[in-house]
Amino acid sequence: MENENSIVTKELKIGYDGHIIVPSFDIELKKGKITSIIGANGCGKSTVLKAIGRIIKSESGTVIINDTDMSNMKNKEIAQQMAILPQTPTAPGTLTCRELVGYGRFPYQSGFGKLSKKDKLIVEWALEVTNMSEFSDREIASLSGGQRQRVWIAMALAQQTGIILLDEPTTYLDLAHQLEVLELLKKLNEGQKATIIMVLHDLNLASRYSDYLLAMKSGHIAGYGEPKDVMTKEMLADCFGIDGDIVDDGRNGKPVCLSYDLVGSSDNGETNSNAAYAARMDKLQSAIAESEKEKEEARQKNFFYKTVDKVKSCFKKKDGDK
Amino acid sequence: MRKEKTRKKVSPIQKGIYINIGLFVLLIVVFIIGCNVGDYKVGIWQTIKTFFGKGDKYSNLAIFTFRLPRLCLAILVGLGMGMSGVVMQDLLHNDLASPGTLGVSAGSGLFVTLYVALGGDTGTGAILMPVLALAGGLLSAGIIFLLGSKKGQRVQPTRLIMTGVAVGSAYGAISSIMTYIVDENKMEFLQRWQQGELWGTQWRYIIVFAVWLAIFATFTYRNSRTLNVINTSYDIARGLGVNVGKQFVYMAICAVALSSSAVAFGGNFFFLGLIGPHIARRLVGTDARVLMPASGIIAGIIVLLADILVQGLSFISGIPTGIVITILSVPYFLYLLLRS
Repeated sequence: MENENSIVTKELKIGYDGHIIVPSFDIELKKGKITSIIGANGCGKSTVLKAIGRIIKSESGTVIINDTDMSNMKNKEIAQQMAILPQTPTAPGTLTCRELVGYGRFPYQSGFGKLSKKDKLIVEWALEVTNMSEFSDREIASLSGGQRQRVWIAMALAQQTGIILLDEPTTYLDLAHQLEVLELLKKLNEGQKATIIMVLHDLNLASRYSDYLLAMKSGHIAGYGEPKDVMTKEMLADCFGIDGDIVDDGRNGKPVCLSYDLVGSSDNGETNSNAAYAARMDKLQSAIAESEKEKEEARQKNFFYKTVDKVKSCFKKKDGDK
Repeated sequence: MRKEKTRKKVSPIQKGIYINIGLFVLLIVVFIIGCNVGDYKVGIWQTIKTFFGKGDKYSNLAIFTFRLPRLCLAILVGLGMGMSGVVMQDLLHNDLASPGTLGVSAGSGLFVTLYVALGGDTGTGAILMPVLALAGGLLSAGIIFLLGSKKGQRVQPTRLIMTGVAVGSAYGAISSIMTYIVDENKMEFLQRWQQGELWGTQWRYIIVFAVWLAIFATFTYRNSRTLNVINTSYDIARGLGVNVGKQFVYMAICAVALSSSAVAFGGNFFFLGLIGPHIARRLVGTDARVLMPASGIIAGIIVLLADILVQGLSFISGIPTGIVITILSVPYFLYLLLRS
């Protein structure tokens, strides 16, 4: 029986410089599905994605891709099964789209080999799927943000992997282009049966386009399941510290967060923290006024300023005389 | 009726190959001109005849004994510096990286200076000198890498370059001190060499140099596709299955080796490793497979031209070639700065 999980992590421990960000991460990510990782800034969602995509080394634990332990695989073998797009990827601006997409064939080439006919056809296919064919000879510096994101996705596609990891693929894009990119990913998921795992900031888009949501809070899994089970008022309060109203989107039946406030700011009346805050502000204000007064006094005592003031007052008198 | 032109689109790499061929032809032309320039006038036709073994006594002497070794050395220095610059720039994603700015040349230079100052003979040092230069360059690169990258963090190219400039100046200063504590003969040699002087004009040096370059250029060129991928960004390269750490070290050693032999036999050409890749990038783009040879050839042409000026113009004859290169390249850099 074929395994239904494409990526499994076991006790994955990830950190930078001895500072542990994710202490132990166990997850089973489903094959052929779109999974979005959500969570507040600094919760470790990008870190987990990068560790799975081996952009950063994990301190311990295992990542299993399609039933094989990643540590037993060669770099190029992994790259033939899993593609990863970092957040806002960069490349020399003078590269043409076709050249960049051709880099996606790197894991299949050896030595100094040229792109084979098959490689070239796959590059054309990737450009076609992402609607970038007409731009294939353009330099990437001349592309708009949406086009650039599409050409990077094309590069990942040229890798011909079953799994694609993306770190916030919609960053810096306007609403229409965000949808365009996510529609493209959905098309790939449906057409090529690609497993897509991405970090998304926008909760509503994550909910709309994902089969599964993985909510994270300070390095731990706070919830994992279908959007309707994960996207709840409790999760919003727990992971994001917001008090939101969840309703069903009339268009697709997925839960959306309609309106939200910071937790605690909705209850009227002076809370303790507010009173303390006001007191602190008052204290600072009076301290600032105090310091100005001190400066003025010091100025009056200072010999140099005294002289200057005297001279000034002399001129003033003269002016007065005239 | 208008004739429909069905021009086949040329891919960037094909265009790059054509430009490389063009540059190579230009190199040959400049080389032949170089054979003509000097106190004894040979003439183009006579030069070509001499090459085919039909020269007279004087043209044979002028070309084979005096000019050819020097011109070959000029080309080799250019090739080494030009290719090394491309590798360093691609590895660090920064157009300001070069053997000169990273302090690698200065490190190589220090070791050669020490060798000469401590009584080493430049005559018997044909093999020893590039090896020492390589050791000095690697040591320098290692020190700069340790100082320029924080532990546990990723390589920060700009930081590395800043460190390289600082450490390189320190090496330069130590080398300068050395020149003052040696005797007069050595002092003059070292001073000229530090300005960039094509001194290793004996065939045995040139053969060692050529073999050395051929070996390391092959090592580097074999990995030019990997270099392309690393040049996008380290993360992308990792995602595509490149072992970035290992490749970085490997390519860096190759780059240092390419530049260090040039430093050993040709002296310290500060701008060469910067300007060669720069011009090449504008002509052929970023693909290392065509950029590396183009950069090497362009740097070779620059050294040849500078050397022709030194040999041909009486009022500057005898000054180190490196100074001419610096004087020629500074306006180009100012022009680039003003444009950007």
